[in-house]
Amino acid sequence: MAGDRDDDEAAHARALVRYRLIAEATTAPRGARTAAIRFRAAPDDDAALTLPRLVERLRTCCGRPLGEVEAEHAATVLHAIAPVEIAIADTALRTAVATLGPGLHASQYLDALRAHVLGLRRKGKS
Amino acid sequence: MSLIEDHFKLHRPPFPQAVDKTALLPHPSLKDAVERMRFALDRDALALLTAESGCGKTTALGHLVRDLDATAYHVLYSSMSSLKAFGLLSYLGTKAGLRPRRFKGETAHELVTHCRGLAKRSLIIVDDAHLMPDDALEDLRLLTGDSLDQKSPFALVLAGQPLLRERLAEPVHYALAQRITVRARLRPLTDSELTLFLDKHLRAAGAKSNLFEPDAVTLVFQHSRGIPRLAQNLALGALLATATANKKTVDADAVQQALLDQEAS
Repeated sequence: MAGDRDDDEAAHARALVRYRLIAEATTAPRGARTAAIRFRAAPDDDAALTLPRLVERLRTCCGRPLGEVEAEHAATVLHAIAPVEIAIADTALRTAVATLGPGLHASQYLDALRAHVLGLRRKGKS
Repeated sequence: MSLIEDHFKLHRPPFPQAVDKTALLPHPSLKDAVERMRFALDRDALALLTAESGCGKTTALGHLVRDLDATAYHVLYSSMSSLKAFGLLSYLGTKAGLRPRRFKGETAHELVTHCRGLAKRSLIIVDDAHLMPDDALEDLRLLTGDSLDQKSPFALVLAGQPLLRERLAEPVHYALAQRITVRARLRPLTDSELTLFLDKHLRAAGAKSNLFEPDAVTLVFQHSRGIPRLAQNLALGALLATATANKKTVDADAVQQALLDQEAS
């Protein structure tokens, strides 16, 4: 009986070793591939677009203080696209003002900002 | 006479669907778009007009056509943009007074020959072109270059929502996009333009003074995003609320009431 149990344990240990080898053979190349991936560094707080910073920029685009509806819309859009770097937002908003003109409803500039950020993300640049 | 006209002593309903010249606000974006389309027309070229829904594309096109010399220009307008290529050509042919043919090639040939044979210059306008199927867009392009040496038999204006710009950026429409000589974009109104827009419409309807208080205009602007069609719908609702409350001018409360009515319906 004891001999049978020893045989079972030995077979189990061999099976474990085989599984380990298989697992190592499978994960080693994947590990090498993933090691090559460089994740973007966590966004710097000073460079990140916050709601007050966005509102301030929109105020410049609109040429007036934002209304209640516009401010709410800004918060919704920022929540949807965050994190966004200030430099990216500035480029998007500058382009929007150049294309559409100043003084429009803030939603026009926010739509442009969202489209710009999503476009960059599709290309893997943000 | 409706409640609004009666209460505010207007001689016609404000904000009609077909805007006449007295009610049209020639804001800079509209003027620029019309000027660009005229430039394309002078060269028998292809123009692209894009704007969000409700920003006045059809109004701008109407403004362009109204100012054309009817003895010098022949205009074919189509808003049946969801038609397939053959359907669109047949539709344009029928509008030009031609009998529809059995085959697309024959219809296209008839249409081009008709335009070339006219003493007038031809302008084809396709509204809501963002809805056009790919093959219909491509056929319109092929029509503009049906002869080796001659210039296009007509000027073409494609008008549509911003999606049209995106569709034309796709590789399948590269050849068509390349031929677009003039691109125009109608933007929504700014807050100051909206004040003038409301005033212009109401004065054209017979108002003797400014009916909207500044707070009310601000609220209309905030909720309509400066889009004329949304603004005029909201303004009509506010006028109705004001008339019902028997007040003389439209205040922010009336606009709030109109917003509630819109949400409830």
